[in-house]
Amino acid sequence: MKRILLSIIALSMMTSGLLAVPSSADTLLDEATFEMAVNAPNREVYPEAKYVRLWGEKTIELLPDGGYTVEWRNVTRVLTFMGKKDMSNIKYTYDTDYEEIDIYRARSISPTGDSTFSIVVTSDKEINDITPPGLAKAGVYASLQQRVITLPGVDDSSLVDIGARIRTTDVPKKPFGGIEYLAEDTPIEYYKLTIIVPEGQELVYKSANGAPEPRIEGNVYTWTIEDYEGFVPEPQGPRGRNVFPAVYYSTTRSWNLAADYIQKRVAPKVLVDESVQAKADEIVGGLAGRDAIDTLTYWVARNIEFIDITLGDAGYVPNEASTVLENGYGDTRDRAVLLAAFLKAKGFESQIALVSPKDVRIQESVPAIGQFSRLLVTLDDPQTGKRIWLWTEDEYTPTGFLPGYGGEKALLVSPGKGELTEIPKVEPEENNIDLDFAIEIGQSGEMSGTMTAEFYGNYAIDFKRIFRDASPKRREQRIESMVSNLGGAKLDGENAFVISGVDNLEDIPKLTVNFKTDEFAFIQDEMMIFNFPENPVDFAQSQISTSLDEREEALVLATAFKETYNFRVKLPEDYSLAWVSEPTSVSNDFGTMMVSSTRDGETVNYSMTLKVDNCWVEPENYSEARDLMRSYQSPKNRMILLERESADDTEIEGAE
Amino acid sequence: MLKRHRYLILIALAVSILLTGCGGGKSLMVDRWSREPVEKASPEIMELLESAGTRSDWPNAHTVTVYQSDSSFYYPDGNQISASYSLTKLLTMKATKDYTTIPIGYDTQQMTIDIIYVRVIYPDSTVVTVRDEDITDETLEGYAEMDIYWSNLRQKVIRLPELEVGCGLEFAIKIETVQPMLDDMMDYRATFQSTEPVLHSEAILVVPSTEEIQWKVFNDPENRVSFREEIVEDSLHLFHWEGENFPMAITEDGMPSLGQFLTKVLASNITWEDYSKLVYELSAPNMVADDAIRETVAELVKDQTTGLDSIRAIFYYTAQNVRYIGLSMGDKEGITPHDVKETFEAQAGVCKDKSALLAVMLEEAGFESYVALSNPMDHVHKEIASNQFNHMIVVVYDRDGKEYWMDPTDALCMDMLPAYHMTKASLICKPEGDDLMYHPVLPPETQAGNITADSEILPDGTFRSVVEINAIGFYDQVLRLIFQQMETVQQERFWTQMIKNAVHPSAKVTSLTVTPNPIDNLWEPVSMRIEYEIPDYAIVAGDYLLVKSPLSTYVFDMIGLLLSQTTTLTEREFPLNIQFTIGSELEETIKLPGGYNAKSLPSRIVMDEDPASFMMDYSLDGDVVTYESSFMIKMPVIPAEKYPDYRSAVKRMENSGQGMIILSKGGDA
Repeated sequence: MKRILLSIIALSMMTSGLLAVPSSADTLLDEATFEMAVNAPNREVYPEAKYVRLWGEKTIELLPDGGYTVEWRNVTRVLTFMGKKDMSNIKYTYDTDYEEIDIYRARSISPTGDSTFSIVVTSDKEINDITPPGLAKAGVYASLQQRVITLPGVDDSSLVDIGARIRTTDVPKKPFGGIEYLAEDTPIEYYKLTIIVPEGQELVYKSANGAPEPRIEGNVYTWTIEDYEGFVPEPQGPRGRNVFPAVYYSTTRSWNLAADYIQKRVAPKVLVDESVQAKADEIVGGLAGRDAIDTLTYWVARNIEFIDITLGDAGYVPNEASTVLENGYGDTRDRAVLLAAFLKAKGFESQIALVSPKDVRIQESVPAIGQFSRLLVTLDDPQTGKRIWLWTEDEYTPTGFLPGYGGEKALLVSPGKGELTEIPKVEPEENNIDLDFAIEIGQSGEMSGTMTAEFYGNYAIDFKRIFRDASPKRREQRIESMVSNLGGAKLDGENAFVISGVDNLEDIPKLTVNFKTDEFAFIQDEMMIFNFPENPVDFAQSQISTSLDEREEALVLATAFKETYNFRVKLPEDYSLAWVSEPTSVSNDFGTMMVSSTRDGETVNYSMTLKVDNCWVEPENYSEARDLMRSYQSPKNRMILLERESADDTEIEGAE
Repeated sequence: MLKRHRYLILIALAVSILLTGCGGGKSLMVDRWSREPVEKASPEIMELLESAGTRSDWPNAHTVTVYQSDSSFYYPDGNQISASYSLTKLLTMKATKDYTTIPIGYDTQQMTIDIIYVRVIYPDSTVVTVRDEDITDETLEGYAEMDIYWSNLRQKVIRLPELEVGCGLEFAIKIETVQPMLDDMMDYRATFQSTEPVLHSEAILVVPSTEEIQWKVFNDPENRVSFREEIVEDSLHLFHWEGENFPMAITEDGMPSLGQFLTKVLASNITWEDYSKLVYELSAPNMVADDAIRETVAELVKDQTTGLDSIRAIFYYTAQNVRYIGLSMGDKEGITPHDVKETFEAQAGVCKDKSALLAVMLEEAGFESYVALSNPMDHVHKEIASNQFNHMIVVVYDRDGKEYWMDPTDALCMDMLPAYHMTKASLICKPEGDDLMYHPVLPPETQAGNITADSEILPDGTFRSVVEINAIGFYDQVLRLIFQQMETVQQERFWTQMIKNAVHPSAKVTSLTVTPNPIDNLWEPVSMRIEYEIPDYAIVAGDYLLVKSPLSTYVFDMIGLLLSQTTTLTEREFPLNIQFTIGSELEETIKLPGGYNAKSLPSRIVMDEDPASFMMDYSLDGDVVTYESSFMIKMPVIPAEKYPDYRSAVKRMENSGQGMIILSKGGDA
């Protein structure tokens, strides 16, 4: 590492030259960079930002042979501790099979006084390659590496200056195209993206989320963004490509061509050889129709180890079905191939489909397959003719249920044809938790009772994931933990809980728990306060943020859902009901909340329902979600007040 | 020449012992190191797998280890060859999934790893050996998240073929070190027990017979482990531990590191004093200041008026200016600090580098100072001086001899040593050596938050409150950590959401001030002032008006909010590891609205148990209600037998949050 202290008399030659930073020795500041350093904005200018990009350029050039080069340089000013953390280790992912990366500049420039700076240039030992987080198991598929550039000299007022280039060394494993972010949530003073395609080729593109339209000169497309203020992401807002100014681009001219690219690589691998046929026969046995489809899907989900790697990161050419069967593991491509081959072996014609990451919307005008992250198999139900989607990436999802994809677009692939199709939305009732409590309150505030819970949709998937393979002792620990959420209650009795419906995908999981606690209702003087316990099922607690009075971004929830809580509360002797939360309801386009309460002798019947229909709430409709959730969470809607029957009207004397 | 010849014989003999066992165990183990392809498992293996039982025999287990053997031979210079063999039976579908990929971490700088074979034995005795192409070599996961980029930390990822319930897995692996962590040190450990049942386990240690070995078996109340030793050819000393039927350990959330409780043997050829000296001697050449360091030290202490302030100034500098980053810089990354001049120049390093630099800077300022090995996560067994450490910190002596400990990897610790070091061990590395010591437990009052609120209910029903949080010790550090992660807008949103969730969904924060600014100014304790209001806060319940003290929900008490997560189990087999003592004291005054009388207030609660204490009280003075409470966790590690008392205190505290100020109409409007 070289540390050089520069003492340079301030220059004031801010010119257009700044926009094209000249190359210079790492240890010196060229005039433009010096100007940036001297005039860099501080935290007062961007009080909510971690850092600000002062200047950046990226050029992507598609070469006539199908290879490409990507070159970029960014100069960023750190503003806070968190900014320092983010900018201290810069990481770029590349594929060693066909890409080569070169970091040609990596340095920090830190002010040491008026117009003086300390420059710390990153040395070789501060540049390392690591396996990208989460991809260690994917080594058999992908040769992805992450080049980590460590900048020890960065402090919370430094400039970080990084320049790098990637070039292809072999035929790329994926077609040219993708998504380029012009900006994210941090401010940018100047950034330019250039995409160059060979003469005669046309770039299909879309400027999204406020990205400017490009300047086009022949085969050169240039987007420039200046004085972008950035924003503080709102809780539960849209993320990534749904909100950041981005450019979608591709040289593939249509979805038909994109689908054809996939078809040509996947279809030849869907081969039914002896081993695949034998296995399919063994799995299906005497089953037919939908039962056979479900059984094959479940077998792949359960028996082929899932290697989690995004579609495209290892290219689009899967292994042959028999190889996948022999390997016993598969990424999204291999699983789809094996399942399609199994189905074919049993006489079912299926289709391949591509889906995007969950909760992400497809930009339909740009046929870039890089928008998709998963490969699926889909076919028509032989009985109903209705399309069913086969998800094999976990072993708890029933066939036909695509968690988190409802309403998103999938690319259906068939020979020479690509069709964007909407995946059916999930209705709240399909994604439901139903809790039923029969509770008795004792005279000392103790509580005992039974909770019965039924789980549907995502709740059922999560329940099965947690309990199906858990040992008896682990199940007990987990149920104890849930019951503890009922005011510290304990399991009551020897066979205090029963779990059912976790072994088969189509079964509805159900939990019955007997519990008791010595202290729940709170006694003070002649009064007893009973607050209805909140949902104790820790993995099924809905979180909808209403901390903001108004929003500028949409409120985005993972899925529509419904939660129902029914209580039958037997009141203690000698206490009379002074008050119980009154019936109320709110219903709007966002959903419905409803509280009802009735008294039946010594028993109070109370129920609360929350149903959310709309999981993408635009800012102008946010008040509906806010008001509904605030009513749902209001303490006055969750309480019983009891009074000892012999109580008089005495009051507490305040010491005057 | 003769010496070399004898040395080679010694190695050959040792390796032979390692790879054939020492006559004990089962006969099948004799050829367990052969790389020869096997198509069918031997009848002996199949009999072992068969007799290992099924899920019905082991209802809480997913696998059963039929046989495991760990053996190590130490060269006189501290290098070693280790061989491990295991035969495991899969009992459940979960096991077949869990074992599809097996990562084995290793350090290329310190060792070579040879996977002799990994075999799957199917119930029909067919054997499938994992192919070479199904074993990949990757960067070890998890370290990048800690900003450690030692390219020598690798893992072999072994991908197994399709598995089924009833399969056996057979592993044979050899590891050879290329450099010892500490020269001449022979430091051995073997664990007999695990989170799954183990039917037979053996550990073999072979050392030159000239070595004096201290050893001890831990956590073996039923004496399952038997021991024998022998001298072989007058040159090797062989230690052999063996046992059967080790029960599975079922872990619990919040327990200390499981390794502390498993049946295991530790062995070593040195004392703590030797260990201390060795690390000192290894570190000392890299701990020499240059002019740049001296100049910085002089600058840091020039305006300090006390010895402690000088110490703090130097500590804060190394904790905050020298970043925590791990990069490969040369040999012996494990324990040896890089040259402090390099660390100072780079302004970066891991714990050992930052500690070495801090110790040198303190020495330059005239304070006696040493680096110390520590382990803030696990218990260190004092009986055997083996490498049980994973961290390095610093001890310094003020000019009056007062001792201060400090951890320069923690940039937000005003007290210099984070509270999670309580009860944990340290070994000061001195030229004359030192004994292992344990850090004392500090009273919770030294690690506490103090939260006060001045509140009133306005005539229109609006609740308005000003809350102040002040903190010391670990509580101060926790608050700094929270505030440091968030920019101003995010802080305000955070508190708004907290109050909405815990108190009332209509709450609105009107002002938020956090000091010091910047939050990493450790010369000033942290303080927060928050103002908020809630329209229509009181609940109209028939003839009554119900008002709760928001502080009683513990919404502003970062520790109180987390306590329920420590009490999810009704009872425990293992201790609860809080890691530190901590506490909070709360007081809120609420001015009641005119026109109402106090009908009822919650009664006073006082609990004082060994692990924790709790007090809560409400009082009325005119139209002002005062709520007070305190909760103190007095033990960093709560033994299983005292856990019910702790749980009871936590639950009482949580339940007390339901208490209300119940008002009835009357009095002056």
